[in-house]
Amino acid sequence: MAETQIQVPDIENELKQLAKQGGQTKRIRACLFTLVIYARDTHRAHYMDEIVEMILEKFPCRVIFVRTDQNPETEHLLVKVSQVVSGRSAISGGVTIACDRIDIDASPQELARIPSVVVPHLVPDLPVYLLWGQIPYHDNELFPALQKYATRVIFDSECATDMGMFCRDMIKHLDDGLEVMDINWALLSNWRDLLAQLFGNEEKFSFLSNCKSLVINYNKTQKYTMAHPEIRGLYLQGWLASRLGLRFHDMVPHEENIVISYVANDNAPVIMALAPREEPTAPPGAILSMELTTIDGRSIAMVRKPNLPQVLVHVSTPEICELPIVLPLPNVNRGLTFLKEIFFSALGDHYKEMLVILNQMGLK
Amino acid sequence: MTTILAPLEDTSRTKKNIDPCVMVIFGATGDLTARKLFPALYNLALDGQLPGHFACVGFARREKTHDIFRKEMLDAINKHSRNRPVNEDVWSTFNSQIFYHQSEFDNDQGYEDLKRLLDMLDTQFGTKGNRVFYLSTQPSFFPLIIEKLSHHHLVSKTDGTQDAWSRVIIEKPFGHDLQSALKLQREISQYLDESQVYRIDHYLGKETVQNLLVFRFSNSIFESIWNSNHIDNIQITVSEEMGIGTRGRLWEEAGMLRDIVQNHMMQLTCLVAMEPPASLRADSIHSEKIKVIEAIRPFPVEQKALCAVRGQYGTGFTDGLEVKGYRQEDNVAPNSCVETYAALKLFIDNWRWAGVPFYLRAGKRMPKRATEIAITFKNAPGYLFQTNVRKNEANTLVIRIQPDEGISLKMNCKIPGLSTLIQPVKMDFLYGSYFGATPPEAYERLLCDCMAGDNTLFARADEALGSWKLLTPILEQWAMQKPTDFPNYPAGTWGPPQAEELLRQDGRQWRIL
Repeated sequence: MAETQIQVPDIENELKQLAKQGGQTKRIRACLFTLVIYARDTHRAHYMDEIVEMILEKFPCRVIFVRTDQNPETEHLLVKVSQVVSGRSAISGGVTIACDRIDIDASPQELARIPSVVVPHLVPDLPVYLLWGQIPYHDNELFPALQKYATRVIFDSECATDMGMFCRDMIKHLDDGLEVMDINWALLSNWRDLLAQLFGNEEKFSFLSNCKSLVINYNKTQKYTMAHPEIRGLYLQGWLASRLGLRFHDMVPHEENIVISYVANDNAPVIMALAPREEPTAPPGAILSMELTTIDGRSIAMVRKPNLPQVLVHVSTPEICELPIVLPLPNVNRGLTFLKEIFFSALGDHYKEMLVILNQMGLK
Repeated sequence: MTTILAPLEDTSRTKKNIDPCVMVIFGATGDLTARKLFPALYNLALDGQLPGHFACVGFARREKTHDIFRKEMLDAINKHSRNRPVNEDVWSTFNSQIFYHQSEFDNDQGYEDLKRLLDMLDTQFGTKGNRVFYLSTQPSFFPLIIEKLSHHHLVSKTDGTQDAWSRVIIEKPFGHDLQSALKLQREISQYLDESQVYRIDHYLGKETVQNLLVFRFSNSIFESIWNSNHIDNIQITVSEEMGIGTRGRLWEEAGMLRDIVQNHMMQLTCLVAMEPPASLRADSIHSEKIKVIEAIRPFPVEQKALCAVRGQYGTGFTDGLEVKGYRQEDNVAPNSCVETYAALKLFIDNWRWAGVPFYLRAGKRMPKRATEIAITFKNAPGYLFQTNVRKNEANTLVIRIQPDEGISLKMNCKIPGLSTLIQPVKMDFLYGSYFGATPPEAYERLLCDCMAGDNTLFARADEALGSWKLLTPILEQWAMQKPTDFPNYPAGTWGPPQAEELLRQDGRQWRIL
C-alpha cells in the first residue's frame, strides 16, 4: 500500500485508517512484535530493508524504520505510514496478513526528537526488537533512548569500521546484562552446529585439540550492502581458538590471506588462515570450506556443496582415507532459521570468549 | 402488603425511568460546560434519554442573554459532541429548553430570581419542582452555593415525604486534603442528606470502567483467579501526553496526587479489588468499595521504604516537537514544586490481596495518552519451557479504559516449527470493533444516572474521605520535604528514575504502554 506522508500526531489514526481500508480488501492487521530499525548510512538502510523484508515473510510485526540522512539539504523530520503485506500472507479465503509500517526520515540534527515519535507507537505487551544498523559505539543519543525499551538489541558487525572497538563495545554490553545479538554470529550458527556435531565426542575432539593448522575459505564476493566478507571467517577461527584454549600470538596479512598464529597449552604453535575465494553461488561472507590438519598428520576437509544445504566432510589419516560423508548445513541466510537465531538464540559465553580473542588481535 | 408505585414499569427493561426535572449548571460559562456537559445533554436528547419534561439553566457571573448562551452551547456541541453535525430537529427542541441566569454566587437576589425562573419553568415545562444543581465552579464556592440554595429553599434535606426532589452534583476536587474534605462534608451535610449529594468522578461513567464489574462478576474464569494466589501485581496507569495547558493556576494548587490519584485512581483500585457486592444497588457497591479503602495499608511515609514517588516534567519532546517544562508553563511559579507525576505502591491487607502490590502511576507529558489497568499473573510454576535466554513472560490481562477501549490478554505461544520456541502473543477485544457505535461519553451516563436518582457511579462521602485519609500523610510529607531535583523527568518520557526504582526494588518494572 502506498506510503502517505503525515504529521506525527496523526500516526495512529492514519494506521487505523489504513487498517480499515485493508479490512475492505480482506486484509487482517497482525503483529507479533515491534521491530525498530535504525540506519544512518544509505547502504545500511538498504541492507536493513532486505532483513525487514525477510522478517515480514515469516513474522508479521509493526515496523518502525528510522533513517537519518547524513547530508540533508534542510533540517527535517518526516513521517510516513503504510501497510505492508506479510510474505506468508495468503490464508484461507484469500485473506492476507498486513503489518503497520512507520518510516521516520530525519536529519542528524533532529535525533533528539525521534524517541518521542517512536516510543508512543511501540506495541504494548509484545517484544520490542531493536535492529541497530550502525556501529554500536557510535556516539548517538538515540541508542540509549530506544535501547531501554528493547527486549533485545540486534547489532551487525558488518557495519563495524573498527572491529576491535566493536568487540570491546559488545563485551561491555554483555557485561551490562543487555540482551544482544550479532547478525554475523547468527549467520555462523550453521557451521558452529556442524562442528559441534562433528567433534562431539572425546575421540573426535582430539582432532581439534591436536590441530596444527586450519584454513578457512570464505566467499569474498562483495555486495553494495556488504563490504566486510571476512568477518564470519574471523569469528569462526576466533570461536575455535577460544574453545580450544589457544593463546593469541600474532596476525599477519599474507597477500589476500590473513594468517593468525596461536599457541596451544603445550606451547605448540597453531596456525589459522583465512583465505578468500570468489563463489558467486554463495552469499557474500559465507564460509565455503575448512581444512584442518593435526600434528599427527590427520586431516579433515569440510566443503560446502554449491547450491545445496550440505557439507561434504572428508577425513584422512596417514594410514587410511575414509569415504566422504555428507552433513546438513542449514541455510541461515534466509528464512525461519535465521530469524530464530536473531530473535531467540542466546549469545552466551562462547560469543563473549570469541570477542576476547578477537580483541587481542588488534583488529581495525 | 407491597404498594406498587409504578404498575406499568417493567423492571426487566434497562432504560431508566427519569422524572421530569430542571438542571441548573453553576459555572455555566466554564470550559467543562462547553466541552462536556452540554454535548452530553444534547446526546441524551438525541438518544431520547432526557425526560420528556426537561429544562436546563446556565448560572454564571457574566452578563449574557438566553440566546447568546444558546448560540455558544450550539457552537460547543458542534465542536465537542460525539455526534456531529447537530441534528436540526433535535436542536430546535433542545434549544428551547436552555436558559441563562446571571448572578454572583453570593448574591441572595440572584437566588431569589433563580427561584422565580425555576418556578416559571416548572409551569412551562412541567418539571414538577425536581432539581439537579451541578456545581461546576471553583471548589471554594461549593459550600457557599449549597448554603444559598438551602437558604432560598431551592434545596432541602430530604425526609422522603416531599413530592419534589433536589440533588446536587459536585465536581472534583472534594477538598484538597483530609481536613478540608471533612470541613466541606460537614458544611454540605448541614443542608443535604447524603442521598442528595452526587460527587462526580467521570472515570466511573466510562464504559470500560462499568464493564469492569461485568467482566469480573459475570465471567467465572476470571473471578476464580482474581486473588493473591494467582496475581503477582496490578499496575494502574493514567498517562497523558498533554502538559497542564491553560490550567497552570489550578494545577499549582492541586498537583497530580490530588487531581488524579485521590479520585480516579483510587476509584479504579476499588473496582479492581472489591468483593462481589450483594446486589447492584448503589449501597451494596459503595459498601464493598469502602471496605477496600479501609483495607489499604497506610503508607509508611516516615520510614525509609520507597512507597511514593513524585516528579515534574522539564523541557522535552512530544510528537517530535519541543515542549516547555512545567515551570515554563503559563501561571506556574518558576520554582514550583508541584508534582506532575505521581507513583505509588500500595497493599490491600485483606484475604484476597495479601501481599499483592498495586502500583499506581499518573503523569502529564508522558509519551502517550493511555489509561489502563494491567493485572499481571504469577509465572507458570517450573521452567518447562524456559529458554536459555529468558523466562516465559507472565500472563497479563489489560483493561484499557482509554483510548482504544478494550481488554487484552497476553499469553505464551509456541512458534510453529520443529523446535520449541516461545513467543508472547495477545488476544485483543476492542469495543469499537465489536460494537461499532461510539460508546456514550462518561458525562452522558452520569447526568442520566443523577436525574434517575442512581448514585452507584458517584463517590460516596466515606469513599472520598477514606481516600484523603490515606493520601494526606504523603501530601504532608511532600509539603515538608521540598524536592531538590525538580524537574526530574523530560517531557515525553515515562517519568522520573525514582519511579523505575519503586518497582525495581521489588524485581519488577513498569509496563511499556
